[in-house]
Amino acid sequence: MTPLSILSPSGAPKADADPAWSSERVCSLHRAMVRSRVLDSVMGDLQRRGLISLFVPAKGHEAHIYGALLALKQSDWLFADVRQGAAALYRGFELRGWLAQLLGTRSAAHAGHAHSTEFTARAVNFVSVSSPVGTQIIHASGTAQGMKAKGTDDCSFVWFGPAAAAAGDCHVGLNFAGVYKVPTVFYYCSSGDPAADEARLGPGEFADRAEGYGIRAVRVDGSDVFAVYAAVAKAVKHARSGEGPTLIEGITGGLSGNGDPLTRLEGYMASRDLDGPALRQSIAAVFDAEVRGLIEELLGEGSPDTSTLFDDVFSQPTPQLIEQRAGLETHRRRFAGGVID
Amino acid sequence: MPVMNIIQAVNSALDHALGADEDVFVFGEDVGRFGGVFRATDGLQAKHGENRVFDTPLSEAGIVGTAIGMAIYGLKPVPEIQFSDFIYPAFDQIVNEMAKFRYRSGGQYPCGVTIRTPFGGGIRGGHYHSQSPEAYFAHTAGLKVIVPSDPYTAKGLLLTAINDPDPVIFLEPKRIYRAARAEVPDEAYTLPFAAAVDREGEHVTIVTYGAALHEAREAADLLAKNDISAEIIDVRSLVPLDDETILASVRKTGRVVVVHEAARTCGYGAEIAAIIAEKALMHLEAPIVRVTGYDTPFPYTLEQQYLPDALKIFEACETTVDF
Repeated sequence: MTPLSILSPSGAPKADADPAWSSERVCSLHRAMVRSRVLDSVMGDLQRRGLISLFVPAKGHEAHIYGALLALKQSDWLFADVRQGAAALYRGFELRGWLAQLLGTRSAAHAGHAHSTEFTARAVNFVSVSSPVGTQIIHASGTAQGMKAKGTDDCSFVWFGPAAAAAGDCHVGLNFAGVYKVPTVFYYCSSGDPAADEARLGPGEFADRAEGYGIRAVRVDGSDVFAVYAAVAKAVKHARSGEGPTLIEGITGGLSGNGDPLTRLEGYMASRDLDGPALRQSIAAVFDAEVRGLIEELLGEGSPDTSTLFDDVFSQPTPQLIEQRAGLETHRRRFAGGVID
Repeated sequence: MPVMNIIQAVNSALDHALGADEDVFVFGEDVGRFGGVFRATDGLQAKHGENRVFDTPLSEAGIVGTAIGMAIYGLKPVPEIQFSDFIYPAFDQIVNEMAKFRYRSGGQYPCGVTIRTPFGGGIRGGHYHSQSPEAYFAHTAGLKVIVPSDPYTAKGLLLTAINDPDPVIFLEPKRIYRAARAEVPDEAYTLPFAAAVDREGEHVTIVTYGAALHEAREAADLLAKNDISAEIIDVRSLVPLDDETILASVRKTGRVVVVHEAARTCGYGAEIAAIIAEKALMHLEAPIVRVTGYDTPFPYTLEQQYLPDALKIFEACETTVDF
């Protein structure tokens, strides 16, 4: 299957395929991609300093993320793996709260219950990320089945990579989605290393697997944010009109040369007299300072209260949890000053 | 009041839940058109529609994963796993997803799934149709584990489970699906996730749940003929555990026999014994005794030797009283 593409490697749009968005919209997309790069870099620093356990950078995957988000409604539900956490920010989730969850500091909405790659933003319909790979693929189908049953025209959207694609849950999710014709867009992001992907999934094209499930499929140049947008927009239209799911294979380019989705977009911007590299520099400088400032502030607030360890296991704590919480509090009070001989 | 067996009581609870709340969905392998391999969902698809009661592909991870996707969306799915022996392909979805959604999201995504599944042996099912996996789930933070013991508790506890905002593993004792018959109200009612004193007694407390409750009753009748008065506690809710009801009985009798079909090592009886040792040691007149399945896979031919029965319980109680 020939991958859908709109922008040439240098960023020139194909005739009649230029979405011709306003400069404002193009710049907003560019800003989101630049900010994502800043987060990659700051989080890499935090990881090296041991302040967070892990951050999986989105670099090279920005077209998969922002091309898709532009084609979706806010009421469509997002199921991400560990690489797309910044999608919640693009949907308007507050940066401070996002960082607090990554750091697990006092104001984290999950009280530090989850790992730094596992993030939740219900306010913007971004479902909790889970480290077990591929589990979310079935959830996306299940939520879409609920959406269909409730008569909404919303859809669910799920990103996953080659590791998840090899997991049983990927087969199960696609199978259920095909059986029930649910409004889900399955978006597979290749790794950017074809040899590594072949070692996981064999030599075929991933999108070809969709046919066996009776699911529509499309391949798309994943360095081309306009192509991703077009592919997702079509899949979403299909889903909303009751035509069922689509599997999109987003082919991640290498970051060198023209495989970088950000430089490709900047090439396009140049044709619109928009100075991408200059904008990138100023956006990055401002955002880097903002993010680092918030991180320092959050690190200053300390850890969540010990008692929050026991929160949200159930809607109400069981007698056993109440007893264990009291036991830990008593213990900590007794040894607050250390062991006294 | 009508007399029902457990299957009819479960069916009645599901019928009420589907009728009362359009967010309730019932599904699983052969659950829809066929009405379930044990007929627990018989007639529900015809009455409530294919949208609400439906068949699924044979994939436990898919059934549970679908339920999770629906529950986080705010619906109340009640999936069926045809035999609890086949729940393990869904273990990752249950343990890592369903049980942790609320905790990892700080309460943003509650996950109110009720998984119904028949469990336990004594039906000549061999080791793939007889297992009692409750300890795996009771050991996982975030799951409630409920075991009815008769038609009345089956209906009341199931309606509580479906309306509970937390995930519930609802284990139905299939050996007594049809054997246990009792008066069950036609209307909807709920029972708390709490233990109950099934029979009052003075000399020894038998703590049990599920089908084994009926063996405990038989044992208590035998004991009574030997002038031993046994109190029986029906645990019903393994998580959350109503330890006060158990401890009150232990303080009264001072002697305890814990009974379950599941294998002994790290079985739920070990937890009950530990809690009694921690909280009622000075009331104990004898060591706590467990009557359980053995640490073997569930056998086919010799299943009656494997299962706790009235005589084994009788003997354990007698030993405890004579200590």
